[in-house]
Amino acid sequence: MRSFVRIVISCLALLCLAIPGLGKGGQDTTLPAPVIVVVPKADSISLQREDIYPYASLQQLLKGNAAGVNIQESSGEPGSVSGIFLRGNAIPFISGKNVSEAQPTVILDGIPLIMDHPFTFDVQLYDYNHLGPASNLLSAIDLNNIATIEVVKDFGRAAIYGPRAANGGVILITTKAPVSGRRRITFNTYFGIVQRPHIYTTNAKFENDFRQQFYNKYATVEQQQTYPLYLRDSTNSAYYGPSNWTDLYYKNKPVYGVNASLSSGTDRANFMFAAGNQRSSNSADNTRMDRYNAMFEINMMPLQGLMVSSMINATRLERRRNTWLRDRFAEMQYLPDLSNPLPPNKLYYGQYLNEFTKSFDDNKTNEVNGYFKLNLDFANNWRITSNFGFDYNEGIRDLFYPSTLLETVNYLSNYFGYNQRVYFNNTLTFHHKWKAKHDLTIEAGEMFQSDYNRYSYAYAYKGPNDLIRINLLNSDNTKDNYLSPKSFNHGLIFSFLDKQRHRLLSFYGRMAYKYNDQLDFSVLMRADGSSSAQPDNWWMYSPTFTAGLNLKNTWLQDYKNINSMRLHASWGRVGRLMPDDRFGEGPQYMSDLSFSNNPVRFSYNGFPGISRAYSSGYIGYGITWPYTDQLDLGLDAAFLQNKVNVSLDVYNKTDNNMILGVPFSAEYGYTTQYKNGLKVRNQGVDLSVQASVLPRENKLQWIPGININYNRNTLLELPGGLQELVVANGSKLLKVGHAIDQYWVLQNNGIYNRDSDIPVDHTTGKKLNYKGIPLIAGDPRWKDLNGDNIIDDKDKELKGHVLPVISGGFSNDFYWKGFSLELSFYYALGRKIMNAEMANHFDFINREGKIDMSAVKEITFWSKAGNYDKYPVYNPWSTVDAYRTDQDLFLENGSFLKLRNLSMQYDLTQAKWWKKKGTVTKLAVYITASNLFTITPYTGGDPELTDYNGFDTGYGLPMPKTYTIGLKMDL
Amino acid sequence: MKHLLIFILIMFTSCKKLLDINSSHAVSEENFWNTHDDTRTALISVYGLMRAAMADNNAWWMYGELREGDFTALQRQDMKAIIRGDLRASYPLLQSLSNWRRFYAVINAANMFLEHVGEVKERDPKYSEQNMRVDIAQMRFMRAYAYFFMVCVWGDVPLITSSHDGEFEDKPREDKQIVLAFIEKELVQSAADLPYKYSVDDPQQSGSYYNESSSRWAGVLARKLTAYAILAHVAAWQGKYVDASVYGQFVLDNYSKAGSYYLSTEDLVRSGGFFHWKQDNHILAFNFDWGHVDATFSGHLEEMTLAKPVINKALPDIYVPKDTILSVFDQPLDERFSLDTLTGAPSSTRYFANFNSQVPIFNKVKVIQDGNTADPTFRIYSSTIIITRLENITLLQAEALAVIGQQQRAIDLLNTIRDLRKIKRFDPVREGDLIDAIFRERRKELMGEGWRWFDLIRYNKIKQNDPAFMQLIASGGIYWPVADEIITQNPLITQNPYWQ
Repeated sequence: MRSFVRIVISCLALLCLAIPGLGKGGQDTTLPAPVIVVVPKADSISLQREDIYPYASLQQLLKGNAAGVNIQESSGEPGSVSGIFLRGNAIPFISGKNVSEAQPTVILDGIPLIMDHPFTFDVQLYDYNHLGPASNLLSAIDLNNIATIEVVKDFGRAAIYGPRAANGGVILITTKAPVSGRRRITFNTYFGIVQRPHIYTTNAKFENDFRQQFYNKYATVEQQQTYPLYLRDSTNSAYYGPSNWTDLYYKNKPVYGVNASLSSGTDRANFMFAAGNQRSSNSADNTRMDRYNAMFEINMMPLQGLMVSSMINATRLERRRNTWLRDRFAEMQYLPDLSNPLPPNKLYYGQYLNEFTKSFDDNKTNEVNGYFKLNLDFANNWRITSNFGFDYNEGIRDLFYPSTLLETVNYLSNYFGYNQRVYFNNTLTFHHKWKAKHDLTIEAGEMFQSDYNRYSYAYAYKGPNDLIRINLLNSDNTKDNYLSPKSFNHGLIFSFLDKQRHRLLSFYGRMAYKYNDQLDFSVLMRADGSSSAQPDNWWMYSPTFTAGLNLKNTWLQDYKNINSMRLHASWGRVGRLMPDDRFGEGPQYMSDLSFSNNPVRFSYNGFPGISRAYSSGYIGYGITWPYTDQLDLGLDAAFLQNKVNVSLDVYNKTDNNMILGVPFSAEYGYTTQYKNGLKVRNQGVDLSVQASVLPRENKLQWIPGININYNRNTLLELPGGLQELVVANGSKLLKVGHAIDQYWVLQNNGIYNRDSDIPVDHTTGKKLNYKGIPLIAGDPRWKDLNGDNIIDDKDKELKGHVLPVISGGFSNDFYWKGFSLELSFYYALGRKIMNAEMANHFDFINREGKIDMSAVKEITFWSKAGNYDKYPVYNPWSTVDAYRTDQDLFLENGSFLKLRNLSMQYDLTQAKWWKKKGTVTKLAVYITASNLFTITPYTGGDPELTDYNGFDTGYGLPMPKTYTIGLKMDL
Repeated sequence: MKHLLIFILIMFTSCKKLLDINSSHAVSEENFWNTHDDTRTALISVYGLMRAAMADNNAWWMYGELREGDFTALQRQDMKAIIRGDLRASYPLLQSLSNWRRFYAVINAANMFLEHVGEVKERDPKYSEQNMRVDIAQMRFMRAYAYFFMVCVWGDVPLITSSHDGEFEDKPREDKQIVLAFIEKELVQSAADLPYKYSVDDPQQSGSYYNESSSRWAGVLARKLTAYAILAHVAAWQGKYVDASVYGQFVLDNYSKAGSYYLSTEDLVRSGGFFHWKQDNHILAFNFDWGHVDATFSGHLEEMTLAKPVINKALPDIYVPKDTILSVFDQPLDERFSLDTLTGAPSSTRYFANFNSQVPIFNKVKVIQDGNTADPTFRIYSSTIIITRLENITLLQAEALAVIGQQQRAIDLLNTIRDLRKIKRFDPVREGDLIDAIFRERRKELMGEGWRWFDLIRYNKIKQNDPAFMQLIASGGIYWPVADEIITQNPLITQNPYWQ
């Protein structure tokens, strides 16, 4: 009760705060406003159309379905992590961590879902994957239980979520509501296959021929002698035999899904129960994911005006992950001798795969979330809403690699990590309407959110044999050896524990006024306090204003062909949370004894050593909240008896005061200093158009739709007034006035065939050189842009974009009698891809004889994609590193158009012979086909499969062609 | 209204409670420098940071052993570039090695310690005056040694003697003579305060140091001998051989007090021998103690030199070619490596395995796993990075004495080492120049210990008979280039002229 009083008081306090502001407006009033024309919202996705496709994640569903939503799915592996970017991106990708910082919040029935914290990367040598199961937590949502998904980008609505909306808005998911007054049972099930792709495979003969041209042209005798062993012996059938590894690697695999729900009740109490299971598979590498899901939702109205609702949703994900060598070595943080790659012949490759039968790799993710909500309406005008909820997810990975997989060294690791969020929101709303024209809403709210992320992780090498697969400890606490390992050597056991807490406390007040369905205004004032901000700067205060003008009701009432038209504008500001609790501490001490190849040194001579955070960067006092401002102007309209719906938004989103690690004076030992002052703007247009082309009375209906986003990204300011800054180990340039996602490359212009071709500076007589290394015949002809006779970083140019400039989707839906045919396309234009896989292939000299990740050759090394002949034959031994990736030689146009989905559905209840009086209200059979084709100028693999840097490393599993047949039934 | 105010007050205090959470992986300024536990962790971190600097990319060997040394890189293009002195070659390894940040982290951490140790003294009565004095002396030693190593690698470096915490300002490179003068002054002062050993009731450090026994500290920390040994190196590097001989003599007169002794060849090369973990005999060394789960994959010579049959790896990154081995180890009966004069077959192969193959394996350092195994399957090592040892100082002293004209004492010291390795004593008639003989002996004794390049520089400075090398010295080509990113970050830093 005390807390209740406190909340009421706090609401009152905020009301006082909010009153000086003006009016009301609103497109996002919580109380239903009378709607005259039903215009489907542009960024609202109805699951009615989408629930037949075998989507493995929310991201897959969003792809191409909403304007301004760009999905980066870097692998077709079911349940692997992929990124969502709303209206461009404001965070420069310097490390893999930055991608998670750029993700928008997904809110499921009011529960802001908590995601994995990227802090496990602190103990990882390689940032390919998050520790543990590394599952896409948004795969846990069973789309069958969802009614709508709405992407809210306009701060006019999104700002109510405060810092959760900082990454371009929020994604709202609404589950299906229970029915009242009747009973509803639904079934949806499908079965299908993923089809194995056709791959052009190669063997050692191909590789040998490829390399010989370089050896013939450039190799010295000494270089000839270090020719790799596996290519030397042409009688070796493992490498020179038929290359048929694909038979084992790619297979047609089944996929299926089943979901059933039961809902019933009355006006005073109703419920819904749903359960489902889905298997997603990939044809490559035997990967798959199984999801088990159950949900229960109830609404009760014990008293008139009091509504109690509650939901609980539980999911389990089980994944079978890929067997990339890279990922295995990254997990082990250890690499074996790499001089002999996996052989392309299936006899030998099969022997290797067979060793996996002795291993296990269990990846499980459990997620439970739920809420308890009270709605109290009283005195006609007042409403109190109180919402308590939680989201908990845990990841478990138990892993064992037998000694036969790696030079007789076996490996064991266990991970358990969880993310937990609890929130408690309260709002008090006053709604008053008078003279049938004036409509006023005043709302005050409080939100408290507490996050806790924690993991424990341990790994051990070299167990005594392959039968002992768990690290048992001595459990007798009376003995000296209590808790010492029973069978593993204690010098080879490494364990880690980390946790992170974050709390966010917010108050807001909001007023909205609407006049006669013509004009509306609203103002929102909010205060957000974050525990990861510095104590003298805990609170961030930010306003949001909206205004709307209903053109139709005001001036266009006489135009019959304009059914609705509304103009709206908003300007808002929300704070951006700091990604790590370290920022709240100011100057600080932590363990920093690690070095390359050994990321986890915490002690010296058995004592912990703590110093300033030299490697991770200096954080001073005076770090303040970053924040995002967004101006949005929009028009929603419907024409021609609502047959054409248009939604257009123009936005200008500026992320201010963001924190960036600025490399600074290494003479104080630090890599970087974190400073406020990064400012990035994303400007663009979101447009959605939907039309019903044929006359209403026609039996055939054709509804084409398109959505498009154009986004332009510009870096406006760098901390400390810098004009440019080199980041990410010298691989990226941030330059004011340019986009943050550009490639920074030398301009490649052919090859110097003869030494005499190399330009000589007439004044100094010096030959053109690369950073002091004189160029020789066989080196690339790079453009000396500044004409100083030296090729260096000053001759690099910012080119292309990693994220598309234009992206979206379009669809064509046809309806005829009970049939419907749907085609969905997905496209991205104005993006480039660095064909790193190709570069690696050409750079073979620097990738032989090493024991590091660049030297790892996967089984897919024995395949060919792209045209090798279009690249010049440089001297691969040259110390200028001729086949480097920071040149435009491997930069390609990565635009594409994909047919994502094709489906045909027949609703049997529409058939003439169907008994309409039966219990079955709907019975539809459907067939779907996904990922049917891609049109792209890109010469490598699938242009979607790139990492966050836009590099196609060849590590993405293909997006498989998937065919399903299914049945939906409602009783 | 009064009640409302009270409520609001309560609300805001509870907000403060809600939001006031300490980070679980970083310690704030207020929570540090309070007790002697904090000084210990801070002190340890300075050693750990130095170990990281030396181990990162195997820097200790990259700077000292490879360039124009005895090793050849087999396939690694980047190491080949270092060996031939092509230090601007465009490889990540070389770019990383050109960056001096990690050494400055050591210096900054030492500066932080020196600035804050007084606070701990005030706050923690258990932190004794003596403990503080010894700690300060160690920190000054570590800072001076970090500067000395940087001067050897880069020549002129910025001289920063306070942390400038929070108010970092760019500093230009300081003349190396000034830096060296600073180093020498600091080392002399720290030498006076350092004990011979820890936790053994040394007059300068009584009682158990940080409540740990002497075995815990064996060879781990800077001691009096460490300071004098490094002083000898500093003086020799500057060609001040009279000074070097004074400092060196201190080490040779007092080594037994510090638990040092001359190593038999077997102890030098055995896997559980000298390079194993930590020992009093390590005059300056940075260990990876297996018992403390400190063994690593990287940061050891073994990572580059070992291969089949010693370890599961097809070929080593670097090796000493047969011709070099034969020309360097030309003395019969040398326990390190020698050929049987009659049969021509190797009679002692302690330094090299697989001598008869095309790529012999440099097998002197091989602390695989815990060092008590010959198991080749897992390439994790616990060998210690040895900076200097008694035999090194003995030969350095011989060099100093030879240069200042005390031939007989120099010959005696040279013979001390030769006796250890069971080779014939020095014969001026047969072998000619004494300086040459001393450097030849250093080359053999210290092979793979990160000294070859620095020895070459001193040798050429003494002999002055190689015009190309003298030109390299004169033009600053003996130093490493400074990484581009350093120059971008700090506009006051200029590139070494030789690499411009």
